[in-house]
Amino acid sequence: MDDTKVIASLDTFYSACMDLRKHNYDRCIESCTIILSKNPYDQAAWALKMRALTEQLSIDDIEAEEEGIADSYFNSDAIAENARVGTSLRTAQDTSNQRPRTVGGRPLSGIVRPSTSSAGGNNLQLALKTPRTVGSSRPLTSQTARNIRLGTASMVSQIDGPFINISRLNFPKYASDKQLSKLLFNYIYYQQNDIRNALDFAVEATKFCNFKDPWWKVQLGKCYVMLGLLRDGEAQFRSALQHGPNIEVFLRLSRLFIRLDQPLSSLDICQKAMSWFPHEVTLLIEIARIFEGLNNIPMSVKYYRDILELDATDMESIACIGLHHFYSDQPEVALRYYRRLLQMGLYNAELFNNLGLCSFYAQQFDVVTACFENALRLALDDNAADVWYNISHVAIGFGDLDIAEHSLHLTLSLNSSHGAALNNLAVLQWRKNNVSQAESLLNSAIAAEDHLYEPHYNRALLAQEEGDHQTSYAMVKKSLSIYPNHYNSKDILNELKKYFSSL
Amino acid sequence: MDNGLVSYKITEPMMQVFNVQEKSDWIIYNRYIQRDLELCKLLIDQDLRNTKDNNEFAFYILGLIYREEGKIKNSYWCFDRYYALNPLCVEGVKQIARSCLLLGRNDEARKMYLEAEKMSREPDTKVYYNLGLCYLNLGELDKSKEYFHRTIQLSRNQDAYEKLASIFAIENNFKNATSILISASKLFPFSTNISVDLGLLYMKQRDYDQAFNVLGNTLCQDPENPKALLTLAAEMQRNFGYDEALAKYTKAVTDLSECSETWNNIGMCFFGKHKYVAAISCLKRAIYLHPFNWIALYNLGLVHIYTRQYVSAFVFLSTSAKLNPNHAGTFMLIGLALNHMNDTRNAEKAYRKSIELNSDNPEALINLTILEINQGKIKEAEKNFHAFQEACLLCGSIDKEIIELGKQVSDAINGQPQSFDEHEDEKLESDEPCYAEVE
Repeated sequence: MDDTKVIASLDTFYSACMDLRKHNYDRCIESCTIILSKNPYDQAAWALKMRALTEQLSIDDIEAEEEGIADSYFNSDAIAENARVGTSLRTAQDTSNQRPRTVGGRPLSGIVRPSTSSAGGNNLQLALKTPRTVGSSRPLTSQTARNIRLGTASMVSQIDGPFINISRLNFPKYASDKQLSKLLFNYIYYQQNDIRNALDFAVEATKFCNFKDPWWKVQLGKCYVMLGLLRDGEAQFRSALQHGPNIEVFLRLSRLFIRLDQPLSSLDICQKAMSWFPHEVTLLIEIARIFEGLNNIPMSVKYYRDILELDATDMESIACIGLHHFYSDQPEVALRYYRRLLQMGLYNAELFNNLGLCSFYAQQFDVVTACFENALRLALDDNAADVWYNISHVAIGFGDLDIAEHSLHLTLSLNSSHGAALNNLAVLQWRKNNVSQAESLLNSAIAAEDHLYEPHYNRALLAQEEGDHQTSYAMVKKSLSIYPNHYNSKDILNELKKYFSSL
Repeated sequence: MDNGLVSYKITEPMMQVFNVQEKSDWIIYNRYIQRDLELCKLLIDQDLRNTKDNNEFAFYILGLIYREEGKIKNSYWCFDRYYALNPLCVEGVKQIARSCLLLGRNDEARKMYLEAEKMSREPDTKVYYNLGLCYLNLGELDKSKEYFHRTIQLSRNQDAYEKLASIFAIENNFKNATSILISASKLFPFSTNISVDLGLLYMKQRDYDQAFNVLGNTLCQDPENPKALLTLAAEMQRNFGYDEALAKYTKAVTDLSECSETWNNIGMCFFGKHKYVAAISCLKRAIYLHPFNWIALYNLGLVHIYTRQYVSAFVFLSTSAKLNPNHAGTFMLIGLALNHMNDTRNAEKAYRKSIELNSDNPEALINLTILEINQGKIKEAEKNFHAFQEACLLCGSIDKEIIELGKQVSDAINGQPQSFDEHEDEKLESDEPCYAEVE
């Protein structure tokens, strides 16, 4: 009781400051509003309210990017249309055929983060063809989901008109004020999400400090990147770096080059940054991710290991290394990494699912069921499908094909466009000689996810057995376009060519 | 190819009046022969427009081009037009039939070919060969054989030889299949396909030396032939030449890194060299690539018994048994695993099941005998031991260890029934099946 009395007796402005520190943004804003209603020209209160409003919504926007479909289609930034293999994220080499792929066609990563789901889309057609179901979440436009949230939030939070009417703001006046200008910029940029005005404001402000302040250069660069003027952004970031090295700027520059689809320059930048900050984890993570994007898994894992030496609790690294071990036939080692994640307090369906799979392949049969039970208990609709799919694999591993079939049916009931499940179900039906059912299942697998080569190959094989050479030919062509070195597909193709060329 | 032209002239001797449109035929023909297919298609398109779809030769060539591009339906349509323009020509009927065959409409194809057979004045080997194919696809093997025989009598058709041999192989008539392939290999000494098939046939008949010779010759001609490499390697492996076999497999694996059988064989090579961890990881990869590969599962179970991980062994073996319940060896190993886990009741059941599947199976019999001796059922043991002795006589090659074990057991039964504990820890040598066939 006493505390509240003491607080009530405090100066309102002081209590507002305290509230801001305690991340009690709503109350801080309320107090500032009271002060401002008494004295509308109280700059301190005004600035404080601005800060509270901004911090309410500010996010770490370095990682928030995700390229939209429209963005990637109208993207004229990428330098080469058909880049050489290994120099672009789009033409990343296919070295790891053992790893399954995401809907977009990228090899699976150990962790879900922005841009893991997207394919570095080669074309709009492909992007539009990938089904828009629970499994895929690629935004249609360039405005990312988080940015959109920011925009709408600014409309909700103010009941009686906007707090600051930006269009009526006198930019040169405020930009010249060194105390206020940065706060105001952040407000415009994050809270109002009005990039164009923010840019104008930043231009004014940087003029007033005679182009000496690197902070303003970074902000200018951020605005340019948001507006899609990547080269201008690059110039700003580079000039900011001339004032001295800065991790944030290096990271932003590296991100920018990834958007330009120049992962090698991005790696260069990170390496340069590493010479300044040799033990910086965020830089190492960035490098590891780029290597993963380039399908250079061994290098990626090497960097993830380096990260773990510096920061033993980095979940992303642990998950990625675990995944790598799992797909290189070392489930026992992977199991150790995933158990570490469990010890660290991660408690979700995906983890239990991975634990279950690892222990199954490492022959720890006693825990498999428990793990999958936990996974199912924790799973939501979208990942429950994958859990059931994995259960079907375990069932096949135990030779219980009935359970396998049931779990595949459950997968499909949760996610009707699960291509791999459809394919496997088709194979099971095929084994039972239900050829027509297998055929229709394979067709729907192809319709659902056409980045998998297996359904195409299986369909080709089925058609070949039935003697329908035309379908077989078309399917084998598709299978080879997805996975050019598939020996069995080539075999079929050669046979078909022989058929077609003889009279 | 030029059949189209020739038959046209033969069937319509009266109409050999060269009008203007036929002047372009030779250009199209030339382009087609020179494999300039895109230009050829343009020319045909132009020609068909000029002649208002009345040029049958253009349709014929267009059909062939479409077929090479894999557009069988379009090609069917072209040949149909060709036939409509020139209904007396056998070639049209043959090509339509061929299109039907490629589209999988075997019955229709058969009817068309029979018609073509009636139309042609002299026997046509192509028609016979394709009729053979139709009947093969329709499952009428006897008729199919008859037509292939006719083809062979009239011409040297390599495919017909191969198909005939494969039909004989389907019917388990290996003798005829080999003789066909031998005569084929004399006719086509440079065909690797035939010699590989022959080698595999010898393998199936367990005539390993012959197989070795034939496949060695194949490899001389085509050192990278994966089928020959794998089969030869499997043969070396059977003769305990594990290092040579591994060398061959590594050569083949660049092509077939996704072939489950190869990994199975590699795994068993390591097993033969007593490198169990490598063996297990290879076999696991084999199963990862093909989860229904019961042989790999069986082998994995075997390796696990050797490494004394009986629960894992039991899991893999039972999976293998679920996928293929007709393999006696699997049940024998299951019995062994269960015996080691002290579940004698079920072990006995497994042994009995194994013997039921293959009554002259010395390994299962001796294990059952030992189990019964240990349980004190001497009478039944004696009965089984007799069966074991008979099975030993029937089987050609038996492991020394088993004979040794047999002697110990016979001592135990005849002499001192107290001393049977000492040979409780019996080990099983079992043939690891190596399947070299590429799917």
